[in-house]
Amino acid sequence: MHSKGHTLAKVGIGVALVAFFAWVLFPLFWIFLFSIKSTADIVSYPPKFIFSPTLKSYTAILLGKTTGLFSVAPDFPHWFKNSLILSGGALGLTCLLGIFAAYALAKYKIPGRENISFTFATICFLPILAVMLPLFSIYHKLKLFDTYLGLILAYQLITLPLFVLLLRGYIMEVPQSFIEAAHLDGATEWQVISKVVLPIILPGLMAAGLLSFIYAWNNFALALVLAGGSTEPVPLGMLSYIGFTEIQRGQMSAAIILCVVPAIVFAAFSQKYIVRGFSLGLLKG
Amino acid sequence: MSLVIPSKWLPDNNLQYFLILKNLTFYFVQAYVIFQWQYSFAGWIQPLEKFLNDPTLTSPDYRFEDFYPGLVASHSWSGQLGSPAGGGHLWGIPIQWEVHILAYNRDLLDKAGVAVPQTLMEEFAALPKLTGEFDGKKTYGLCAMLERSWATLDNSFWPPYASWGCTDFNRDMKCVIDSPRSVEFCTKWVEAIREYGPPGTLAMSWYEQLEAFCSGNYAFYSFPDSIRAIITDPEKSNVADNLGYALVPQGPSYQRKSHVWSWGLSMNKETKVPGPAWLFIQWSTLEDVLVKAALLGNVDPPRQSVWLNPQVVEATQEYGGRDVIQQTMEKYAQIRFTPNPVAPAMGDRFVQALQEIYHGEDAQKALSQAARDIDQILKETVSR
Amino acid sequence: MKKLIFLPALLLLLGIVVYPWLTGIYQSFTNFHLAHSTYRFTGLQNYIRFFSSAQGLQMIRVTFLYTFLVIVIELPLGIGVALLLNKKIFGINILRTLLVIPLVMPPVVSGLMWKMMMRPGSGVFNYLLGLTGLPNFPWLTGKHSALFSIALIDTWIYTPFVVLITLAGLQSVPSQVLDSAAVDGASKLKVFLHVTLPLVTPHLIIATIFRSIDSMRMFDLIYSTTRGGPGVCTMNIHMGSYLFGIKQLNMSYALASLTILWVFVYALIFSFFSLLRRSQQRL
Repeated sequence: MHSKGHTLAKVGIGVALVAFFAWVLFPLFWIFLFSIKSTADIVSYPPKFIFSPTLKSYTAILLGKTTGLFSVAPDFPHWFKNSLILSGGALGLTCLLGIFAAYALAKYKIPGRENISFTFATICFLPILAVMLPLFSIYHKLKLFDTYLGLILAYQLITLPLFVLLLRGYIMEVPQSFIEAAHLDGATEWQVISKVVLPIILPGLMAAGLLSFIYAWNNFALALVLAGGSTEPVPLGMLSYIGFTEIQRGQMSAAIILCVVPAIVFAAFSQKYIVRGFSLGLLKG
Repeated sequence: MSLVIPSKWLPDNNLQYFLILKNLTFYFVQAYVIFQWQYSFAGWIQPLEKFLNDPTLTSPDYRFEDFYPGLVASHSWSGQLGSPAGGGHLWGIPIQWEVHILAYNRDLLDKAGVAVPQTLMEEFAALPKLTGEFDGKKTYGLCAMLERSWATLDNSFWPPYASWGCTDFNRDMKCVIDSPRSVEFCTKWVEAIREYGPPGTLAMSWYEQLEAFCSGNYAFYSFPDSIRAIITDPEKSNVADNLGYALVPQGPSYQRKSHVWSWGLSMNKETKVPGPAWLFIQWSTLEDVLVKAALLGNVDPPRQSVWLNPQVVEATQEYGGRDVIQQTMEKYAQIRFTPNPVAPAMGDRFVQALQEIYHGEDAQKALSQAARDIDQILKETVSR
Repeated sequence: MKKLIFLPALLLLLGIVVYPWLTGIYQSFTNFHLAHSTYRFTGLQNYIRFFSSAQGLQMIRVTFLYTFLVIVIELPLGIGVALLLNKKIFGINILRTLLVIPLVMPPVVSGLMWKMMMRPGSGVFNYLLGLTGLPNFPWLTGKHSALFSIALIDTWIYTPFVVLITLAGLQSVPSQVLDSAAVDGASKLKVFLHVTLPLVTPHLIIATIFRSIDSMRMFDLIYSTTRGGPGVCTMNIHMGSYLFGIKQLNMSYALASLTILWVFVYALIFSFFSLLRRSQQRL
């Protein structure tokens, strides 16, 4: 009797999990089908499950295409490059400034330390347009609109507070005695940070870095206001498949799949850090 | 000098236009008429007549009188609220246009025993007969979109609305979309779309509307003629073989009013190189350049001589409808927006009210609220 | 002196965030409009207009309703799935990796993806509904279904987030605690309510903070699906301010709306953080 109920429960759990994961994966599967269908197969209704697959959408977005007399350069590699430059640049600058800020806010006795930390936290949660609309006017005057530098600076709004907040939680865990011992050995402040603290918090650094990168990579509203044709990243560029002359569902789907593939690779090795980053960093901070 | 052409369609992003115009990145911009009103009011673009009338800058062969007068009129506005299009300064040189005509699915009309409607009443009466199932296919009478954007007004709404005797603003620039006539029409129209129109029409862009008509399941489609190339292409369209064109139907008092839409080239007010900018605009709209453009797909050229050019006639003949279009252009078409700097926002708000009616809101209430909001938007834009 | 190494970060944020943001707050008390080159102080005019207009109140309603929907769907679902996954299951690492995928995709992209599938006339969801004999559902175009549909997309993206955070919490619960509770003869439900839940409360609060604040200022998903439509059914304050500022060029009104949104968000953060402090002190 007991074992029968147990088996039933196990089956129930299995079914629930399968249902949940089917729901998570179905959209990706469907968009993948779109990406290898021809335009006619995409619009046909009821949907076709049997069709002859084509890689036309992929070649169009990666290599460009020719319509009539015009050849259209592919946009996707350009957006992807922009996304890499912007997110990578934003992460680099964030690490450069953030490690020191996090260390100071974790280990030094600074008047109003908790308040400064809380300010960092609240900046994370500003409605993004509240900063972007005024920043737009300022960038217009400084000629920073549609430049990598301008956008990387603006991306700090997203990456820097988050990074500092998460990293601070990890640094607070480093025993004070380690730092004091290093100081007794005559280490400079920089040596303490680079030789003692950073090796200990390496997993935390990974987590904070990855999360900052993902937040930058996924950001849209900021680019919508501040990026133009030469710096637009993937999320903004993707909208132009809903073009003035047609909606290119096949190409949009192919671009989505090309976004998902790195995401899966990324997810595979980062999920551990992501979870730890959020739970540890914030709970300790 | 290198020339950078903004090839991107900037989706409803006025900020980017603002920046392009202010930052001197580009010294000319191609814009819809209703955006030109906005830009000219804000002082972002400059009048062009001083260049046009300067013999040192404009070639005698340019023959500006060759442009369709209706198009030139729609690009001209004094900038004074309440004054109609057609006077004052010239804000853009037309480069491409479209007028609205009625396309219908001949096959479907025959099967339902419906004649091509001459009046809107006939069209409304025919819709129930055309909606249902024919040969196992689900069909709909009316192919009309209702996306919350001014583009909806421009993609099947203006001709019947104007023919019904309605307009957006009165002479005192008070929004009158809540007039009894307008309420009557909007109620009928939205009901027709709800009962006999496409599913999901509230999120339908003009391109999806076009796709829907091409599926062959729709009877009537009041459409901007510049996309004939798509609906007559058998590769893309199931109606290509049994397509008919007609003038847009008349309203209750036998008025027939179509809508014309025009794109024009305008010049940035702060450009440091107005001369070269004008030369470029002039070059782009020369007769032989426009002929070349027409052969490459700009099927509605703004010069009469180009429209009648034998090569162009031959190239565009296969899309059909030339006589209907010409008749519409000469007799019935006019821009239906009243010139004002908030026309896009007006359109957005108007269609929002239409969507509310679609969802069951009282038409009078929804339109009155919209009219008041539009008055407010206009007021805060023009007054300081 | 060495204490000042946090200054560069702070100065950068002051310049890039705080200065524009305060400028924005000042401009929200003026009649700043992009069609005009000058502006003057007009006091509370924009705020009065916001709170006295039907549209302003509608935007507040949508903002809070959306947050409510997101929280009541994602938290129970996320906790449930986390409990199911908190077992020794074959391939658990693969499952967790799958869970992270929606989180590392740009939300705009997810929005576009779901919009294609939710098309009322020809989308796959209505096709599947049709197979089971159900009528077409209007999804993003219905008066009542639009906001719900966006919340559904939100659920797809962010439920995994709740799952992962909760799972981290569950795995930090020492197994001796659970064992001793089981030995005492407590029922499974009681163990969950009185032992497990209190121990993971801080994690749940973190998940709630992120989900409620992010949904309160949701922009990407709404922009990529409905842009506030149909009508104003999905127009939250963030989306509305985009339309006021960027489409209508009325910057001061947009900034006033954003300032109002910020006050709501800030009140929420403040109450959550004090809750979090208290729950940690209790431990």
